[in-house]
Amino acid sequence: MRDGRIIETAEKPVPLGYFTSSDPTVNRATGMVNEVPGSERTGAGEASEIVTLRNVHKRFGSTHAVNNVSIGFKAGEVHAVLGENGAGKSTIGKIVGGLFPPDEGKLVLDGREVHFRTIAEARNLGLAMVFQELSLVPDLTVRENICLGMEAGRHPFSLLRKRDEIERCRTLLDEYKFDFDLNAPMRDLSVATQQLIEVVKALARRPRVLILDEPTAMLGVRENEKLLNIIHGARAQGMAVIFVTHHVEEVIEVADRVSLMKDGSLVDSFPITEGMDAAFIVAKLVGGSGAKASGKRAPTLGEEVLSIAGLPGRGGMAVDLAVRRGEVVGLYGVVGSGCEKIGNAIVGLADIRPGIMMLAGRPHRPSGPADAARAGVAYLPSGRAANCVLPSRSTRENLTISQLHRVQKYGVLRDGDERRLTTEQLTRFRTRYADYDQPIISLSGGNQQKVMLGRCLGRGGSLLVLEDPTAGVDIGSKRDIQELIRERAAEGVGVVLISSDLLETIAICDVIYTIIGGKIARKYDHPTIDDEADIITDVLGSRVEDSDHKAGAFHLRTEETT
Amino acid sequence: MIDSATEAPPMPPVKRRRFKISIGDLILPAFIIVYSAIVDMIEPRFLSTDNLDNLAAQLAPLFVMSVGQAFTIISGGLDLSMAAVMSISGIVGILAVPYVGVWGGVAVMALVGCGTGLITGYIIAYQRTSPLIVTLGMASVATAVALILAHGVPIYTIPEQLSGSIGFGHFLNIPVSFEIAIGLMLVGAFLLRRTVFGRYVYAIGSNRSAAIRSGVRVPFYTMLVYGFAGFASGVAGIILTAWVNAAQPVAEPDMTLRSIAAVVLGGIALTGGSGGMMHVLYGCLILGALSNSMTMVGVSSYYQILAVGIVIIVAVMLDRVRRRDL
Repeated sequence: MRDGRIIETAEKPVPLGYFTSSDPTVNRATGMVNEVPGSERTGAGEASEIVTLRNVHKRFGSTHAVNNVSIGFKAGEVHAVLGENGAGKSTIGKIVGGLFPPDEGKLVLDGREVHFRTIAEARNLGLAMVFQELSLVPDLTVRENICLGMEAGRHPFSLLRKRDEIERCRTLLDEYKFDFDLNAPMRDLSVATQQLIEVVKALARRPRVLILDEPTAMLGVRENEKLLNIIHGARAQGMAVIFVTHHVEEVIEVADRVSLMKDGSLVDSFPITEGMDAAFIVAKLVGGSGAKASGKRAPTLGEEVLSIAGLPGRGGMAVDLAVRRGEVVGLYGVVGSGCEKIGNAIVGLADIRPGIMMLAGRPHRPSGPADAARAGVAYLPSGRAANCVLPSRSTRENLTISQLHRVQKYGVLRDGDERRLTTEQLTRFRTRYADYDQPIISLSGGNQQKVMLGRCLGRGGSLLVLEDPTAGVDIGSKRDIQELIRERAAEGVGVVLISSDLLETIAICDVIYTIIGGKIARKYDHPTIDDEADIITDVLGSRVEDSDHKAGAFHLRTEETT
Repeated sequence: MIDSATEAPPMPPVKRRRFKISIGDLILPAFIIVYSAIVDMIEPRFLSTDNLDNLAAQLAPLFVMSVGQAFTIISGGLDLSMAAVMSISGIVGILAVPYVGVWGGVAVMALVGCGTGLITGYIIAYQRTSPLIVTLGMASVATAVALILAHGVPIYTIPEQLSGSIGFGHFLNIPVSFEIAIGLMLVGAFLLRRTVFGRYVYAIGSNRSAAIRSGVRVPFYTMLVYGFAGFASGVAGIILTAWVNAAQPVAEPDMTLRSIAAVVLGGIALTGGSGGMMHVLYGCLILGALSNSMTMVGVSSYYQILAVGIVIIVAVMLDRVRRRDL
């Protein structure tokens, strides 16, 4: 499939607002572009639906992921699709994005029914999907990444047009009020910035429909703000923005309309009006109130489990960090601030200097997670797909991989013991499963995360290091997981929580340390929701300190160690 | 899958199914049976006792090697030095016979293989290098050392006891060499399915980063994997030396490739993390039946090499198709 449309816009410098007045229409029969300057967008103008799903069904095996959903997306409107994990909201986005066709029902574009065989076909018709997984090449620069794939349609040995590319990127960045170093290699940027560039890359193709699938999952506060700016910009340019998410706060902040999904069905769809609050929407979705986890604050605190002395603080002072038994300590900062590095250091995936770690009164300098585990540190890493799940193995093997020492004798596994352990823990961690000998990837994301939590908590130990324990998890599971964390603390375990979700951090932590640019900014004892504004101010800091500012004040060496 | 509502109790496991058989698992055995039946119609000697006996003995070294290779591939790696390690094991073992006796020499062969594998594994695991390059380099080193020790020529002074027992001996009418191979396969199956080591091998192959973060000592177990592969090379060296009645410094150099082919052909994903010993058995039987039957029907050896090459490529393509189904 040739990317005809893109070349057309690429050949000449693009004047601002070019495509809003004359969006080229594409001849579907040839896949090429009939450029009609000045022609109106198809349909009845401003409020017209660009894409419509009519009575769409989609099944995956025995799961009815989307059940008779009819939904329309209008130009110049930000339309949020909200729901718990497994509600079918991502599937909606993927059907529109051309990732797979509906089993039944119609996908209608500009009043005509369409069938996409590939994502490229959808893209040529102006439907751009941004994936959660990064599709960027780390070795290329920002500019090269943005322009990658836009050379399509030219002959393979034609020369690259560097000046055109720079021009095009500049225009784009100006439009969305961005400031990236176009020549920076992608690998030097934080994951959050990369995620933003992923969005910019999609926008560079001048789509008419922009589909964002949980784009804020990897973002820190600052990048989140930038993303919302992008979305507003895209709306102003007349795009239909489809925003798949499970963060109700974001919906209120950015969306014009929200559609609620539950168990594959569309529950409700209504415009967001002034004064509508999160509780209202959550209530509609869950049919109850979305109360936060309670049972916080262990009354009595034990002795220190972990202490890190001599961490650099803001203003050059050394700060000591301590975690006591029964205490949940949160480290909060934007992506790249260095809080995840402290977590890595505790489990031996990074080295931290200065800073002397003591675990239960003894010097702690683990060579890796295995070594840390022997010292009593259990670890739940962030990045479920990359760092947690063993995709080709069963739920049982995924759960017990960290606890085989309990079910073995002379290195030989005892099947009965292992099954008993599995059943017991899956029940305790409220996991929903059909057969634990089936591959774990047959579980939903929320349940996979519970298995990962079980892997970490089941191991036992005196200290827990949890990174984003509820990332990508639906509201119900989130509450379960937060309760389980508090329960563990109540049993006398020290917990270090590194979450990008500030409300969660405030809700379950006894102490929060805010971190900016590799330095500890402030310590909050018994934080409440009233501290939210202060914490955000701490971690965003002054304008000079950017989250992309790589070198923290810690001298960090991160690698997969032995 | 449906996500949990908080109050929904977890469903109990449906059934204990220890031995599940899917249609995919039956394709290869069915293919082997159908293929044998067809060949037998063209050339009735194919399924004769004599030929099956011959086939089993022919297959034994490859089979043993493939069991070892399967471990490296399941762990997400690869061992390209196996044939070279097999050769050096044979040479060193035979050279050691005057000092340690026949069975001492046999033990030396296994130990040399295992030791070489552990060294390779140490370099791969602790120096964090690519198995592809390290094992390729090790193949060169092992071949060179074998040539130096043997002065570049095969050693023909093989003790009678060795070739008589392992080389051509039968126990219960089955070649001893084949029984050794089956024995090693059973050991491999036990390790993979019933031990902590095996569980970790799968975990490392499935997602190395996750295995590290789960507290698995990944480098140590990676080293053990290559140690086991080396041990299998050593055992293959014992069988081959006894069977051909000579220790060759460069014995069957293409057997490494065939062992990879057998593993992949049997259905073990090259990406690691899945597969078992039955797959190795199927893969070896197919490769063995192919070359044996072609010889019997009178296909020239050039065309045999061609056919094996095509089968390997088709196997890798099948591997792709199978994973798309997942």
